[in-house]
Amino acid sequence: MKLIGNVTIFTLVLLISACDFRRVVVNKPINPEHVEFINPGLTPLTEVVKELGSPDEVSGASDYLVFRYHFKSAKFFRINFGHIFRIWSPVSPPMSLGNSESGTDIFLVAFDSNWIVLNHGFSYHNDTKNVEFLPF
Amino acid sequence: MKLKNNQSRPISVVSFLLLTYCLIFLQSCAFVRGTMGEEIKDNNIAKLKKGISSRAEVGAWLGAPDEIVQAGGYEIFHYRQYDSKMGYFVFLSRINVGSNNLYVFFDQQGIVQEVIFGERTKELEFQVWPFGD
Repeated sequence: MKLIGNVTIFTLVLLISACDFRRVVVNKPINPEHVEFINPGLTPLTEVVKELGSPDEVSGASDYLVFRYHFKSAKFFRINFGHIFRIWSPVSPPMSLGNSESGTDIFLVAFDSNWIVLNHGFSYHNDTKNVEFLPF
Repeated sequence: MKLKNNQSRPISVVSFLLLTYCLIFLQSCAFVRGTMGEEIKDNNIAKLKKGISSRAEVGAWLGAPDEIVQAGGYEIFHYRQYDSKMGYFVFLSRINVGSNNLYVFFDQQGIVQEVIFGERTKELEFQVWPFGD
């Protein structure tokens, strides 16, 4: 009985070590509450920079500027069933199920030629707030 | 190999399993740091004077920019640096990535009109726990 218990624990440990809970955080996430101070037509560029820091990208045309802030906070999960081969084989072939996404969310602010906010908005490219297992 | 008595078998199995658990956990621990781009030094940023510093001086102090953008009637030099810290323990991992960005705005005469600098890499920590906010 003791041996069966040990083997069960051993198998469980192997299974747990075959899992991969991963978190990826890129910059400090910006929420709609963080940008409530922005009033189009009123808020100057300096105030935006003071509150949010410098952007990751600047673009625009001759009469306007666009700031892009990239951020991400995503959770991923993966399990590799091939991990069990590590007991008797030097090679563990990957047999994984998991979920991951690339890309970042973006907060975008446009300024006019006087560096006053014209518009702002979010662009979400990730939906990994919770850990998801199946890739399908 | 012949065992001396029946009691020695369970002990050796337990020892083997304990050793295996230790090996599994020890081989799965890592702390990794990655950086990209040159450090943007505070003393170089302090040299940038609005309305005075020229494009050539900025190039001499900070080097070639990573990107040059034309927008809003300005020529903008963009310097950036990335830093990442990853903590990994068995089946838990977390990677934190941050960036520092410096923008220098030049007018048509090539004189600095605005400097924007944000430092987000100082807040980065080595973390392992992937859950929560």
